[in-house]
Amino acid sequence: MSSERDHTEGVDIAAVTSGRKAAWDGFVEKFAGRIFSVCLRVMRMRDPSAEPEDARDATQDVFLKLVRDDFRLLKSYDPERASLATWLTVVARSTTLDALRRPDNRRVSVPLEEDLGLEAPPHAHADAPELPLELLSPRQRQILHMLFDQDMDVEEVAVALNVHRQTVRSLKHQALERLRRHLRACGA
Amino acid sequence: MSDTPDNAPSGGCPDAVTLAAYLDGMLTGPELARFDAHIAQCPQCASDVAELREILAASAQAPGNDDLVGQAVAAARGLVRK
Repeated sequence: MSSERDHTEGVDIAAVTSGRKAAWDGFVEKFAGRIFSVCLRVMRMRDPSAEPEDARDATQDVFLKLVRDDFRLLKSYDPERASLATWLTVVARSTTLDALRRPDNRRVSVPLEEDLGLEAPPHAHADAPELPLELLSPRQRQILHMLFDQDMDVEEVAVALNVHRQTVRSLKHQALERLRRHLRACGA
Repeated sequence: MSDTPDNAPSGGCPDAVTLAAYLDGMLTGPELARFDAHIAQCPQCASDVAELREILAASAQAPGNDDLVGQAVAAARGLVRK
């Protein structure tokens, strides 16, 4: 039988699931390419014209699923039972199938924190409380800017950013929740 | 199996860890017999196993699309910040 270390290809799962950034980054670097390949293959088995961008989004979904709820899913992996690569293949396939089953499976995932090249954050009103820049991600700031400063509706933002409407709603909700929590903490 | 949560077996279909163990040839004895009996009467799980074997056989291929993988890596790294 292979050792636990062989099964995880040198990844320290306990370190990853304890939230150590270096361990997580190493895990991501090691397996992202393989997960991407699985997602793309699963998609193209069903639709030969599936775009690689959709596999990228599904790959992001896989990592989000692994880390969610304090690494609940990743903690369920047992290196004594199976190799990490095979288990991740099973997880990536089921995540991709979940994405394909959604009503609009184009750009369905919630994009993460990538920089979209936003030229400037939304301007602050003179009497508004000062907000720390790191409170919102660049994408959350951009969504709020388009919705509230530019008076665009959800559909217009979705089209402009080439994302699903639900993605816009989710990011708006997340951003407003963060703002509410921050303002409550400040006593505003 | 496809509709089963990755870490919660339901309706008798194996969870992700058991499925991965089967694919890796790690199941033995009664557990292997139970798995074989299940896929013999569950067409969905049998189909899942066949597809996963095909995917695993091809997984050694170079991923390509390095830019897109890099974008996924950058986004995933941001999920853990401490």
